[in-house]
Amino acid sequence: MAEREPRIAVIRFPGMNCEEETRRAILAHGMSSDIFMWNGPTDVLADYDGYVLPGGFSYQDRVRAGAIAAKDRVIECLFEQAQLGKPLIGICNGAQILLETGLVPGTEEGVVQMGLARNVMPGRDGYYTRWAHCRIASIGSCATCATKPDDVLPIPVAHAEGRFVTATDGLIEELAEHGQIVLRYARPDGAVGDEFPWNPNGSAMAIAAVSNPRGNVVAMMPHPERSSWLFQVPVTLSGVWGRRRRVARGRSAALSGSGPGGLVMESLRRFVLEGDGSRR
Amino acid sequence: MTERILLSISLKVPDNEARSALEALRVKMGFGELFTGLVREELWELEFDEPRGEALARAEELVAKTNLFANPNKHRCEVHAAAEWALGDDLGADEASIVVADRGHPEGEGMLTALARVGAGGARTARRFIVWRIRVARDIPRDDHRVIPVIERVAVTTSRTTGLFCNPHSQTARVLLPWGEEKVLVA
Repeated sequence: MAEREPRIAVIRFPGMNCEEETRRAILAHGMSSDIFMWNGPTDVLADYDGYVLPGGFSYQDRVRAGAIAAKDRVIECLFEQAQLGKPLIGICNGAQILLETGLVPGTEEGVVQMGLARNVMPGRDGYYTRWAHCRIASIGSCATCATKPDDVLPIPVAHAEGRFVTATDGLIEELAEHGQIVLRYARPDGAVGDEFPWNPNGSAMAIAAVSNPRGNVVAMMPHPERSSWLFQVPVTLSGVWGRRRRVARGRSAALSGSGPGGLVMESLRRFVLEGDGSRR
Repeated sequence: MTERILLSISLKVPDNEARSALEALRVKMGFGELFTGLVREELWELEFDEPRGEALARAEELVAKTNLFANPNKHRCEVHAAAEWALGDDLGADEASIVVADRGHPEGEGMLTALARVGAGGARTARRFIVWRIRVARDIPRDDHRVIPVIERVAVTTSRTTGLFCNPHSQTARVLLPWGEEKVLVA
């Protein structure tokens, strides 16, 4: 019997700009997907198997990235669905929204425990974009359950406020201990890259993604939809994926294969089909 | 000698960011008509190693010649010596200010570097604050026990439903009240 296709809702807030490519990446990885308007009828959200908050600039980043979207009614509905164990991935601005809701890291229910602060980069300020090498720090999440520990996925980052910080003593160590740090910025060889440019924003412990304790809600700053196909990977990139891309040059079937960000989409699919289980 | 100079910058045109924030307070967070107005201002605090008069003149020159602090086509900018003017001095009886700054971000260094690049040095340090001047539906008496806690609650984000202007993990916040009192909420 054929596996059923998970249904994923991509939530669009005013000012977001990555919903279409996020939906395409989901469709390309064996799932169906709709774009759901932030002010749409929330009762139908329960019909979906999972949810993605894509990147962009919800409400034009007014007040602070993610701050206003976090107050919307649709987020309350996602909160309820996430409590049922359904997967919810926030990408970039979506991650900023999730942190502003307290869903991530979620070790104290409903409490905002972290912030995504403005990038700190030597000699520069503001918006920054580059291919970041992201090392899998935990496979116990809906964004990484189809990966292997310590795999290195090159995925683009593009943000001005992506530095994971907390004022809570010991929280980051607690997250690391419980496998809630999902991705860390690394060098191409996989060694954790604490310093710029490997860590592109000064994030504590080079954190690129964090999950809730159950692993079904993930806030990630890198954009997997921008590296979901191999053709999106630059030929100049170092590491395994750069080599794969160079080998595939001129072969359209190979270039149309899944890229490193595709593993995030595949993880989302697998998480829906197999449940959150007990991967930690 | 160190002289602190304050640049108070606001928009001459309608401020969509303040409108969105007020809408979030009134509709999304359910405060309705309790809050009747919101104005956003940017405050730069500059330090100069010069006497007050020269520091004021130099700050005015930085504003006028660089456009790095304000664009005269859409902003108004007031230049004050900190010793002679305090933020919140002009608050109405029905107003309070929430002052927010980023923590752990070397924004001032960026501004000093930018000033140096255009040959407009002179300031020793620079620090930026966002001031949210919030108006409530009635005057705030000194012995108020109802409105002040609400203002403090909307100032700092502690949960999805509580707080808007400051994320305490990355920012600091203080509240200025109309009779000159200042309360530090997040240091």
